[in-house]
Amino acid sequence: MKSADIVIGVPSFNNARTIRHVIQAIEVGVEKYFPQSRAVIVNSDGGSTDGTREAVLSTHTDDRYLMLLSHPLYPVHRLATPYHGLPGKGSAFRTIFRIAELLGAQACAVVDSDLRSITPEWIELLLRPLVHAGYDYVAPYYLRHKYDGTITNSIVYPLTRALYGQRVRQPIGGDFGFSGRLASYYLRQNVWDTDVARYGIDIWMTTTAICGGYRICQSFLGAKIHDAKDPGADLSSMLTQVVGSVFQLMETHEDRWMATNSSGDIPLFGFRYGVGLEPISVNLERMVRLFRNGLSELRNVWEVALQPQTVNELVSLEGLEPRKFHFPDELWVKVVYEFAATYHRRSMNLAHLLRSLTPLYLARVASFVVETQESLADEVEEKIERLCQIYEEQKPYLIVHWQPPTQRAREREVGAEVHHTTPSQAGVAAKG
Amino acid sequence: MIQALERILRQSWDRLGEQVGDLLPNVLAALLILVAGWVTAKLARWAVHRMGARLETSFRRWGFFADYYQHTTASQVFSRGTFWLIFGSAILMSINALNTEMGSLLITGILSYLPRLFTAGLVILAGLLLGRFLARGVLIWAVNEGLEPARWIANAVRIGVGLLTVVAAAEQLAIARTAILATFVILLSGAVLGVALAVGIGSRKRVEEWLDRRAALLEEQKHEQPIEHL
Repeated sequence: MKSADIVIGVPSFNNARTIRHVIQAIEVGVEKYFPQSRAVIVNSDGGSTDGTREAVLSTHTDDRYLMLLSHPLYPVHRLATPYHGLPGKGSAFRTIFRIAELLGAQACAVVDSDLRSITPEWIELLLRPLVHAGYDYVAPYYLRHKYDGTITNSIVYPLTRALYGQRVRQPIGGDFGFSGRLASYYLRQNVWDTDVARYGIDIWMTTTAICGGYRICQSFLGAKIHDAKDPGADLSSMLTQVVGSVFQLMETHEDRWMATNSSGDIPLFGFRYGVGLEPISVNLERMVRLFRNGLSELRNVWEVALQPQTVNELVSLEGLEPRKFHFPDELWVKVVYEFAATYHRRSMNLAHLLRSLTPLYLARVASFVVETQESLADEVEEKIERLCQIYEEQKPYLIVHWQPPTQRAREREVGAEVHHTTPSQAGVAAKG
Repeated sequence: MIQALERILRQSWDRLGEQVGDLLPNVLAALLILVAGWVTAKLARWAVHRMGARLETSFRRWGFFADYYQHTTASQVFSRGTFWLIFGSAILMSINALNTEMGSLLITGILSYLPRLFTAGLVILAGLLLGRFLARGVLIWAVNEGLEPARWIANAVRIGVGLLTVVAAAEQLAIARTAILATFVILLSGAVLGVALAVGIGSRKRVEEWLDRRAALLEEQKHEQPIEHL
């Protein structure tokens, strides 16, 4: 096959149990919604030993013709190939981008290989904005439990929005659509020997598309249900990887985010709906205990990363009971911004810095849970929106602390008044 | 007799004068070298400190010395090192200028010992940095895991690395190698045996309670539906 209109990539590693369903959903989705297009499913595999690649090639859908309205013009081809480079999702995506470029595909998508809730409609929602509306990047928009996605809701979404001015609600969703020209743009970036190749690919794709000036939109896909993850998965590592990637991208795109002053909505395709989701029991006492332990044992570390006033405000939270625990939005935003600035200044080892954020993050989650216990989904979304506004209002505070002390001193010498002790003063000074 | 006494005293004074006359130039040269060395060392320290700003940025980017920036900067470390290198050399030169047998022996001994001293210094510096780095990493890990004696675990790591550093430095300096190594092995074995006895006999009940609490916590976590953080 020398060319294709559509390429759907599925990165995998030992996902034989779940990948059949994903391949079936993709195949039916392409045949149902793009029957006149030539399509290829590319499985980019990281060396599975459980027969994942064989499962991809041997999967067939018995009752597909019950789901289709018309016969497709072309069969959907499948390609299962190992990827090369650093082990990780980024390297798998690079292989998919390369194949898409070689085949000259105009519309591409990538989906996770352990999805249980994927339907053929996902393919339409990820590709139609590219094919018919001229967009270059389609981010997912999932229906999630109010307590899920707390890293996204409290850090990645509001920070990305404040920095780059685009309200991509779920920038690290994992299932994306992108145009062929955007795939070629991704391939030209020199990141494939960095942490992007290992674990930072999702936020990198979103941020690069925004900063590259491509047209961005999002599609409502409904609930995202994975194969059950290992409950012992390390939160600290996850936080380090995600937040580290975001901070690293801040250094790459410093000029862009420093010049961005506000944010705007991006189009949302798909029919939004809400359903009741199973309640999740959360161990507040454990989260608050971890925070208190962090306060007593990691204070020396936090004093390197944070301003003295911020540390004092954190200390004032120590005595709060778990059921009444409250971590103010303004304080949380200051913590994130000061960590970003410390990351940039390299004032301490980066792994230590990012890992020491874990107790603070858990404190934030505990506070969020307490504040939204009785809240419905819409009310929770309003709360997240307020948090985003605080991120945007306090952005001048970030800009000031991002700069090295010598540069701040030089600005004072030439008469630019930079008197910052509180974010509100920073905001007034920046606007002035 | 008085004349003999006078003659002896005069001869004695003359000999003293000759000896002082022989020694004085050396002493003056030694003092001059010391003063010149001190002035040169001061100037070099100032120059290295001024040039250090660029070095600081690089070291900061690479993460080297990153943890110490709150108290000491890289340029301060290098400028102080430069000062003592130059002034130390001046001290040796001034001792040599005295042209005494003991001075020559001293210098020969110091110069032959310098490489070992330098290596031992590097070993100690590396050990201190490594111990501190590892201790902090372990502390953060232990806190994130919810382990209550987090600081004890971190201190144990720091002490362990410190002891290894002392043994390695002593090996370099050829100071009581066997004795220090034997002491280290005895201390380590004793500590391990002591902890085993304390846990097994003395603190059995406390350990049981801690293990029960830990098991209850893990059981609790197993039954709660975890949040999907991403």
